[in-house]
Amino acid sequence: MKETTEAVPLNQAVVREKSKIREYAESILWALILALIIRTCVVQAFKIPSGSMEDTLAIGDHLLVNKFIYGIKLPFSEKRFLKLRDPRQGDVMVFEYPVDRSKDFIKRVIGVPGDEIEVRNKHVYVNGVLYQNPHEVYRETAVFPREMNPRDNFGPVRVPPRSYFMMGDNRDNSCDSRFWGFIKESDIKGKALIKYWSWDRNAWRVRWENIGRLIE
Amino acid sequence: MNVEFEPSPDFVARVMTQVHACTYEKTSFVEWLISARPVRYLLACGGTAFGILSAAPVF
Repeated sequence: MKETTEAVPLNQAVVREKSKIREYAESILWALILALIIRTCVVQAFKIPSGSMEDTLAIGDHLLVNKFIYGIKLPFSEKRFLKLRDPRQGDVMVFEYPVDRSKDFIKRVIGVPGDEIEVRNKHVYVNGVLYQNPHEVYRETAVFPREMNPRDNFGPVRVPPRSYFMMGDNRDNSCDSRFWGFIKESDIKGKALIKYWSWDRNAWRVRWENIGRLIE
Repeated sequence: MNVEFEPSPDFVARVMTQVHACTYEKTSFVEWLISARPVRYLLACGGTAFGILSAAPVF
């Protein structure tokens, strides 16, 4: 009789301990699943380590990327579903770097499928019409000849179906489609949406004015 | 054994109050923190937010 009365609280303690561990395991599992689903289908965070998109995106900017606007990409597949719209000229997009798939790049869409792109003396022409984006900047006055470097004189080339021509806003310091060609639709990760954090490591300060700013 | 004995109506409530008080005294702050449901939910939410906002470099 005595054994029974002592065994009951011990078992209860073991059960309570187990349930506490189980509750924690469940919480961690749900947190992981939720984070994974949100990162894959809704928004993903990125940070800028290079100046190829200056002044739109500065080094140290942290941004959220809309993952569903061009369709949610299924993992390990090239299929997309629930597409809201196709990429448009002027969109700032994140995509897999075609030369090294382990890296992601962020650039502005200049040419959509069917467009003819040409760069003449730094000026971009799309279908023969000068295309000037209000965010583009030029930091160097020197103009390279076509034979030397495609930076300032390039093309004309026609954008193939399901492909895009991308350029950085910092036109003189950007490694973009002028150097490595088009990106495929399947390489697109999403559209840059908003800056949620910005750290200026040179001045050692937060760029408060950038936080919450939409990327256009 | 007194078969006619009847406990007062709030007997169980009074005993349980004492038991809870005793348990509360014995439970350390860390134990309370670990077992508290809001704390667990807060940790899970924090972990989720960290998972979403852990930024990858984009060049």
